[in-house]
Amino acid sequence: MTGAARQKTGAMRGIQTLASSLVLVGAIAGLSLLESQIEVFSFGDTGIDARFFPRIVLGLLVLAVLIRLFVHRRTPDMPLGYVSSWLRVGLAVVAVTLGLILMTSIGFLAGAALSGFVTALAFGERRLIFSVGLPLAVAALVVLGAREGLNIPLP
Amino acid sequence: MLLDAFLALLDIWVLVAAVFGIVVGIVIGAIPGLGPTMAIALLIPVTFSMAPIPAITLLLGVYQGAIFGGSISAILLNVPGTPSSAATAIDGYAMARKGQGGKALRIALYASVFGNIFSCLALMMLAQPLASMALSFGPAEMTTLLLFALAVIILFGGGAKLDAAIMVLIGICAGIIGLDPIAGTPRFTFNNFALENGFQLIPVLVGLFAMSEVFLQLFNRPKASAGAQEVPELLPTKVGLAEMWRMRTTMFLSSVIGTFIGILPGIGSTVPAFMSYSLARSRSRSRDPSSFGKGAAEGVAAPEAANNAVTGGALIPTLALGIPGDAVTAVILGAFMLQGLAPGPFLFRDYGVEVYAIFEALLLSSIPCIIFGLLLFRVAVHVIRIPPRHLFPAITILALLGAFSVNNSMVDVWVMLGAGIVGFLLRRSGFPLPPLLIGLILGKSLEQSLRQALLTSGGSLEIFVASPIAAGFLVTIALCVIAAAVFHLRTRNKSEKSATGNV
Repeated sequence: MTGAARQKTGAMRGIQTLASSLVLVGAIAGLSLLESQIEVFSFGDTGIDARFFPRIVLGLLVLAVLIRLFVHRRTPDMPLGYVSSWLRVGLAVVAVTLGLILMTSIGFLAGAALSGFVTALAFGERRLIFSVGLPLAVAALVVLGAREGLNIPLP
Repeated sequence: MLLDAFLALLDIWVLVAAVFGIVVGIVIGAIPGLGPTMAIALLIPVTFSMAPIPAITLLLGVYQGAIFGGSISAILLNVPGTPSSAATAIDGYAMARKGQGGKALRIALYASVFGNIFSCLALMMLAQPLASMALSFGPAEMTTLLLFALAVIILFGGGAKLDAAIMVLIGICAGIIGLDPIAGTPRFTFNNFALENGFQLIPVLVGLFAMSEVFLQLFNRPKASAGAQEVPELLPTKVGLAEMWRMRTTMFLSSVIGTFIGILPGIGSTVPAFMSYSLARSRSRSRDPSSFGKGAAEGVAAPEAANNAVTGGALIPTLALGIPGDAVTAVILGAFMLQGLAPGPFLFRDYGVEVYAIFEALLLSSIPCIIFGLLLFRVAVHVIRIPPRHLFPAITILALLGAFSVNNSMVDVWVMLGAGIVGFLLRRSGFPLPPLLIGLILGKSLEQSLRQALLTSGGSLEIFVASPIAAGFLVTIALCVIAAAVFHLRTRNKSEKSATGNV
């Protein structure tokens, strides 16, 4: 397959391989942490302890992902996508994370409005009334409804 | 019991909840990308302070309304609001282009209500006997039943089976985090006290289905220059009883398909919608072979009756056995648990009146569904046009509230964000999310019953063969695997033959 053709149909290594590899690393890490993360007080039981089920499931997961990687080793993969697309998602993730970190000190209203504002910017909204005003109005309505109507003690 | 349940419905808040749920469901379902799963997950906090009957009626109203709402954008824009409306779009959009959009929407609405009533009656007849039967299940029978449910999701859920298996296993792994269900030992909590309760269902759901959708929409953001799609003009039309009566067999068969496929876990409503569409097309060959795909009324009625019939069908195993049929019923299962009505064999014994009242409310919701469906589809046309840049920031804020409100805990909000990122990466990679969710829900019960069975038998696997019910489930699993393998090989041979023919 030529480079141009591969560009059209998808790369040999793409996002599916990346996601599968991440799952594989996670499952192997889970298996290696099994002893330290699950304490077992054995009193001569049959081995059906707290590590029994996780060991089977993580082992099956490793096996399934390895089979997937092997089966699809020559199949064209989905391309990773444009850097700008990832940057937009990254911006929204950072905004929500920042909103959550600040939420305990600045309150739900400001934290949620900040997350909504940056998300609107990432979506390409440039008019102030919609990028700032709309998230602020939604956050204010949510806070009002949650506190007065649903008795939820928001931060 | 039925009369007591009906008396429990004589409360103005039940009516208000049903109407509110249906209206919100129709509006949200009409917006492409916002399905019933997201709508219900985001509305759960609204039901916290409500009594169980109106709370669940509201959420089921959203479910019912959103499935019909999905057909509005499918018919008018050829953009299915929900995946199950894709079959409706084939003939619905063709009708809309001929100026019969209003007629197609009316047929879709009436067929939806027919499917809903049929499946509700099936739900009322089948759920309680199934729950009574499950009361006699021991750990061995429960283990094999849960394995059967997971096998069906993997084998017949659509898409790549290996990917579905990986998703189920990831879901089960996520369920392992927290306290061990038998010994009470912390597992993978990294000495964090907040993680000892494990991942709560609602924050994970909101993250997987609402937050990940925000990220996915951001990733695929259309260019600002892309103009809004033209909506065909809705001419005043009427659909008579005689016209609907002519389609009675199609609607009946589609409802049977929807209800009984809905009972099988993990398949969802897209498969029955396409199956009933194909059946309606093959049945019409003798009469009008060329009309399907060009605006046949039966091509709209069949998938709509089927995908609405899934509602009641999917609730049968959800309520009777605690095994959700699809992602939406998984959210409804979470809502039942939050209201203190734990789905499973004991639900009907302990909360019979409440459960039957909810069934009757679902049945009677068909009346407001017709009224508000007819009133709202012109409004929904305008809602479809709300640009994502205005909609998704609001969804982000609602997702934050939805996750926080479950336990009034910031940990749940972080879990929601984490689930949103994971959900986005998996969806972007083409992995299906419903098997992950069902794995998460069933994983704990599977572990508990498997270990109980093995502890009872002293570690011997004979316990699964000694019980006729358990052995029956194991044989059924083996038959399902063989059937799926044969189907896979036949499909591959066919595609290879056609590829060779093309060369």
